[in-house]
Amino acid sequence: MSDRTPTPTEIAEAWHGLRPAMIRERPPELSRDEWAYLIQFVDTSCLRGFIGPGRGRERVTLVLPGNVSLLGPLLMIVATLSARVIRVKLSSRSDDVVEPVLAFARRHGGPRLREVLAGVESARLTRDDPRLAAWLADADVRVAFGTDAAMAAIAQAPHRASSRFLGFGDMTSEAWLAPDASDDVIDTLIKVFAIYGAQGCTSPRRAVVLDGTPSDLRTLRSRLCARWPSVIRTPVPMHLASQNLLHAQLARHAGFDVALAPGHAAVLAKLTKLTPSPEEEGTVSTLSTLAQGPLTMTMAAAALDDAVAALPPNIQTIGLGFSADGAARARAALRGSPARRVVELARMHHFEPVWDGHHLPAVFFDA
Amino acid sequence: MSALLDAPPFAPRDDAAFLAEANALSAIHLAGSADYRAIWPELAISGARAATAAELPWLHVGVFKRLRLRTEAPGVKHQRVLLSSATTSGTSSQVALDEHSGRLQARSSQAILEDFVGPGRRPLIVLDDAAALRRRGEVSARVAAALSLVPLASTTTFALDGDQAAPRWDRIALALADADAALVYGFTWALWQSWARAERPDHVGALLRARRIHFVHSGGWKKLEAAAVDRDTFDRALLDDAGPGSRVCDFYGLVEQNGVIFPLCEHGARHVPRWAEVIVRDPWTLAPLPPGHTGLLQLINVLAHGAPYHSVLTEDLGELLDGACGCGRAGPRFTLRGRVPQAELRGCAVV
Ligand SMILES: [Zn+2]
Repeated sequence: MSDRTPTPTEIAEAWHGLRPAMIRERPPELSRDEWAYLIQFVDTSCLRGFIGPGRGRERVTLVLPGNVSLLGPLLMIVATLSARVIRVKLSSRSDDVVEPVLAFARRHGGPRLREVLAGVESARLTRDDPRLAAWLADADVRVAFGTDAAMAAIAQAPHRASSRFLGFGDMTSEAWLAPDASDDVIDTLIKVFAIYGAQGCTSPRRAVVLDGTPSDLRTLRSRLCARWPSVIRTPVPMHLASQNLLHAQLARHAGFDVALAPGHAAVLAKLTKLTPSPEEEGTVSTLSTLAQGPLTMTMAAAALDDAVAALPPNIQTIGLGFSADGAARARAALRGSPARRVVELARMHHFEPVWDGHHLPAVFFDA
Repeated sequence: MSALLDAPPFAPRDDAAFLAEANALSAIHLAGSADYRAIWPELAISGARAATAAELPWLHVGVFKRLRLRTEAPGVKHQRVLLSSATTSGTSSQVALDEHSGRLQARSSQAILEDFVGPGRRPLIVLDDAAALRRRGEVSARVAAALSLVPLASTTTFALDGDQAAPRWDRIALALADADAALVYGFTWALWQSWARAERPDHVGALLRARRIHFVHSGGWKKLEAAAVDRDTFDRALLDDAGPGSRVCDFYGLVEQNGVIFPLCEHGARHVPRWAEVIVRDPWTLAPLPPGHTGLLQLINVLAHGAPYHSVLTEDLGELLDGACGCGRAGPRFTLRGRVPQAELRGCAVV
C-alpha cells in the first residue's frame, strides 16, 4: 500500500484497528478471557509501551512450546512492532493459539496490518529441524520458552554475534493475600488461577495468607470453595475434573490437607506451614511434579519475612491482594528478593514492557 | 477367601455379603498400606465402614501409574508386579500381585469365561509371543489377560514370534489337530491384523472350519476405528473361517481390576459378577448416577489383597442399563461409552 516502511506507532495503530472485528467474533481456539485480554492488549495505548527509541531489530525468531499460553501471541504482536521478518516455531503438537490469532488478523486486518503480517512465517517444527537452525542463525532477536535445558540449547545454537536472546524458563508465581481479604480479592484470585491453573508462568501456583493463622487459611479455602462456582460459571472439562480427583489423592499422599473446589474445578492443597521443619523437607515442602496437578493450588499461612525467605529462585510474579498499606509493606519487604514482578493480583497475567527482568523495548529496538 | 465365589458369577447377588467383604478388604488395606492411609486419612482414623458400595473408599486409576502400592497383611505373599501397557504418557500402571489374590482372580476369570464360552478344556491359542512371559518380576497386561484363559486350556500355544505380524500356522495346526474346539485369544488389533486379515494356508482353514472356535479379545477399538472396521465386520471376518457354533467374545478389563473381566453378552451388555460392583459417577460431583446416564466407571471387587486395587475410579465412561437382560444373567450390567477425552491446559514452559 505504501512504499515506505510503516513506523512502529503506525503498526500499533494497525493492530488497534483490528479491535472492532475482535469484538464481533472470537476464534474458538481462544477462551473468552484470553480473547478479552487480547482486545485490550492491542489498544494503541497499551502497545505504545513496547516501542523503544531507535531502530527496530529486523529479524525475530520465536520458539514456542506446544501448549503456550497467551504469551505466545502477545510476543508475536510485540515483535511485529519492530521486526520485518518474524519466524514462529510452533510445536509439532496441535492446540496452538498463535496460528488462530494470526489467521484472524490476516482475515480481518486492514491493508497495513496484512502487509506487516506478510512478514510473519509460522511452522510446526521439531527442535532439530534444519529450518529452525536457519531461523536462529540469522535472527537479530531470539525468543524461546521452555525448560532450562531446552532454552540453553536454543541460546547456544549458532547465531549472529549481535543477536539478542530472550529466554522464558520454568517460572512459578504466587498470590499474597491479607487474612481479611475482601470478596473481590477472593474472586480475583479464582479468576487469575482458573485461566491457566498452575501451568502459566504467571499463574499463582501458591497462595500465601500473610500474617495469617491456620484458621485464616481454613477460612480462605472455604471462601474459595464457596465463591468458585459463581466466579467461574462453566464447568471444567471432564478430563480436568477427573485429573483433579487424581491430583487430590496424590497431594493427600504427599502430606497435604486437600479440598476440591465445587465441580472438581481445582485442587486446593493446604500446607501446615510455609517453611517445613528439616525432617519434613522433601515431603511437604513442595508439591513434587509427581503430585502437582495442572489445577492444584497450594496454600499456606506465613509471616511476611518467612514468605519472602521461602520464595523459590525461579519466582516470576507475586500478585498482591491487599489494601494500599498492606501492599506497600509487602513491596518493601520484596525489594531485593528474586521476584521478577510484584503487581496487583488482577494484573498477574498482564504482559508488560518489563518482563522477567527484561526491558522488552530495549531488546527489540536499538537505541 | 471370598464365599461369593462359591456361586456362579451371574447367580442372584448377595449385596450384604459383598459389602461386608469389601469393607473388610478396605480395613485390611488401611491397616497394611501407609500410602493408602495417607490418601484416606479420615477413614484411617475413624475406621468407619461404608453403608453402601458407593461409600467405599477408592483410588483414581492414575494413582497406580505414580505410586507402587503394596499392602502388608498376614497371609499376603507378594509375587510379581502386573504392568499395564504404557499409555500415551509413557507410564504404565503397576499392580502388586500376591499368591492369595492370584488364586481368587484365577477362579474369578475362569468362572466368568466359562459362563460365556462353556465349560471344558480345549486348546488355547494366544496371539502373542511367549517371550513376553519371560520377564522377571513383572507381567504385562497382555500376558495376564492371556493367562486368565489358561484354566480353560488343555494346551497353550503362543502363535506369534517376536514382532512378526504373521502367526506360526504350523504351531496352530498342531494345536488344533486332535481337538473339536479351541480358544483363540488376542488383543483386538492383533486378532484383526494377525488372524482375520492374515493369509492362511488352506489346510489350516479346513481345520478351523471343522472346529468350534471361541475368539476372545480385549483391548481398545481405537486402531480398528481408525481403519474403519466396526464390530460386525470384525466378527464376520473372524467367523468366516470357523466351524458351526463358533463365537467372538469381547471382554473389558483393567489391570487394576485383575481377575474381573466383563465380556459383552449377546444382548450388548457387560454383566457384573457377584464378587464385583460397578458404580457410574458424575465426573463433576462423584454422585452415583442411575441407569441411562453416562459417567465415570468405578469398579469394585473383593479379590484384591496385595494392594488396594479393590476399588478403582477409572477414566472409562459407561452407563448402567435398566431392567433385566435378555441373556438371563442376573445382577447389574453396563455398557461402555468410550474414555474421558484428553487435552492439555496451556502453560509456558513445556516444549
Ligand atoms: Zn446380557
